[in-house]
Amino acid sequence: MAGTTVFVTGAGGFVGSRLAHRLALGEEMDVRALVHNISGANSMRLGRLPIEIEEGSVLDRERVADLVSDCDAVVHCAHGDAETTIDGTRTVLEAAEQAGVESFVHVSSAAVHGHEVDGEVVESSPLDPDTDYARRKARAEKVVQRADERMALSPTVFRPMIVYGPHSRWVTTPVEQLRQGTVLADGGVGALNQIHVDNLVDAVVLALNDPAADGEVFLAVDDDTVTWNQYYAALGEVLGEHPPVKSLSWREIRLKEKTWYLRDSVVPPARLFAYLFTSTDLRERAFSEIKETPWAKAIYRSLPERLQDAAVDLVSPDGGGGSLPASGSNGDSATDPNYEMPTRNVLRMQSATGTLSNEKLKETLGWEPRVSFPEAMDLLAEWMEYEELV
Amino acid sequence: MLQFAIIGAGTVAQIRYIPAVDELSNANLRWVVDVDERRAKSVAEESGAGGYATDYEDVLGEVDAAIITTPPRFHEEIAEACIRAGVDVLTEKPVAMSSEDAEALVSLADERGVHYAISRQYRESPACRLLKLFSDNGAVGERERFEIRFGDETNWEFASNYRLDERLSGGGVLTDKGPHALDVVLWILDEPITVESYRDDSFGGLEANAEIELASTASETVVDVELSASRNLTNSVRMVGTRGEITGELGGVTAQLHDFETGDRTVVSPGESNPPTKPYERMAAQVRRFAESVSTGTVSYVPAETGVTVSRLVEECYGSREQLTNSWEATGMEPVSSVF
Repeated sequence: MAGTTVFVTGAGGFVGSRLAHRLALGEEMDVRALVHNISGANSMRLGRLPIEIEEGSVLDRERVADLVSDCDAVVHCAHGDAETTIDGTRTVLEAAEQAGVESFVHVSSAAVHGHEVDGEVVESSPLDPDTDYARRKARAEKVVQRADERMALSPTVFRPMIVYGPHSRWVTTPVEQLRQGTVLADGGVGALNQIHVDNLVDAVVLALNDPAADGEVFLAVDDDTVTWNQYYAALGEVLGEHPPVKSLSWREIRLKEKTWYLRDSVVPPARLFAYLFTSTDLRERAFSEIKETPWAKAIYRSLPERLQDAAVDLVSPDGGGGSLPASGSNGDSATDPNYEMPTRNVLRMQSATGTLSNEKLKETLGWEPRVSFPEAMDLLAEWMEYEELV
Repeated sequence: MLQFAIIGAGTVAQIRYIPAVDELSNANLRWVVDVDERRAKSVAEESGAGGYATDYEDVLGEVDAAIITTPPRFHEEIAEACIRAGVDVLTEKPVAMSSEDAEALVSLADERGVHYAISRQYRESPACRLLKLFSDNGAVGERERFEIRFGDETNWEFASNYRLDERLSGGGVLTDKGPHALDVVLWILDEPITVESYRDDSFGGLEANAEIELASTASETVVDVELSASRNLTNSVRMVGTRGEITGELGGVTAQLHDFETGDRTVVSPGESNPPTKPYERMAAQVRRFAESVSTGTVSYVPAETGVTVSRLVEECYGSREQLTNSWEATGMEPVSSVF
């Protein structure tokens, strides 16, 4: 609605930047965008909009309080390391409460239900976060829930799984993997559980304007049932010629993981020993080797959760990767030197046939997916050409 | 020894200009100037400069030449102070925020007999030089079409956020990258150019992508320029003539000559023995030319005067602006309340 001022955190990200675009130009709202680092393509795209762009951290309480003080609504998309994701959510909630905003939307992730979903997942299904990213998101949701109980604020929570569209890493990473040659677990029979970014933005806008959304949690997923295999095939078609996608059974995946275990447990300590005598930047390289070894991982697993996060932040300044597919992961050196192996949580999603339900979203807010999968793929094809990705 | 000052100690000064000045045998980095005292101090210390200052006025009496690398908004006032103090100037583009102001500054430098150079690193590009050579010597026949694509994610960290601040940057990608591309067009075609059409993707902010169609009035060459601050384009130059075409990467070392009559495709290399291959080397070559001119009095740099014509073209572009909208951004723009 025109005349409404919305504070968007994480506005430099994929969802946040499209949201800012649509709120400013489609909904004619005044947007104040918080970006943690103004540089690179996302900021350049954001700079095209008639919005206010502020560089800063969600952890900066005074700054956030100041920026929210005259806003009518908040959409919280920012996430990162444990501190940013959890404490940052608290900071933004407190600032919003203080400012007396009318609506608060928290963008969470369906990963809080785990990456290997079975049957139909609804909002009340148990939480089973199974990666660092999912655990951070689950704990941020707890912070939101407590705010709902103790504050006047009634935040709305959205849980999307795979958000796709132009600029999504769920598009660019698979495209890069397809170009290299990649693997789908179990032939990619798992449900993608995707939502197009514009459909997610629709849900957020509906929630901002509808009191029925207050204090509610919504899974966010499109209607089209698409498997990982179908998704990779559709992207592959846009890409054109590429190495064939290989299917691996879980038995094969586990076998490979055993080989990696041996490689990772024997080789890095040997290398580390060599560095002691030859390397000048010992500490940095030692860290990167140590953190990948099974014994370091075992120590990590035995730590309390809070310390686990601290450990991840300590050794990986980017915050430990999140749940996105990582490129440059373990290659299948035995047979195809260039083949990319997706991360374990992505492999699990590829073979998990469970689906998310969008029934509550439809019934409560009257939401319908406005962009269908075929339409989305046509638009993606045009975008990929524009970006010289194909 | 010539005494140099760097005014504006941001990223481009740190990674390009200061190392380039360091390499000069006839010059010495005397002062690092930046409004941010901590930055001025740390950059001065790291580069081994003679000293640091926060106000450029304080150092002009002690230097022979200054390199201006501040955000665009300040180029003009700093250049004017330098010129009035008799200090030779190498400025980052643009000369000034308007073509009119640029013209006035260039005249002032003329009157005062001060060297006034502008940074145009692509004139040092071997591929661009080859393109000019083969376009001038008739190897491609009569010129028909000239294309430049220039885009990257501009993914270095800015020392300050001037890029998204229109008061400081003066504009989006047309203002930032446009001058490089337009200068290459003017330099290679070497004839008057007019703007046929201009589109960009600003929605009330700063454009990140722009498409320019130009025409040269004498040879009737059609010129297409595509600029991007958000996409990693294959940065390329291409000249098509009646007999053949020559293509290259904007900063490439070689170019490809395609003879339409024989069908032959030849890779051509520059004659010089160590052509600049990296942005830093192109920048260093310019700084060398500038320093040489300052010490010998000859002019081998690109004069700031060329910036006046470039500024006029930029202004003409903005003046005839049309909206560039991509399908994937246009979708979903109807207000949610009208859809659900």
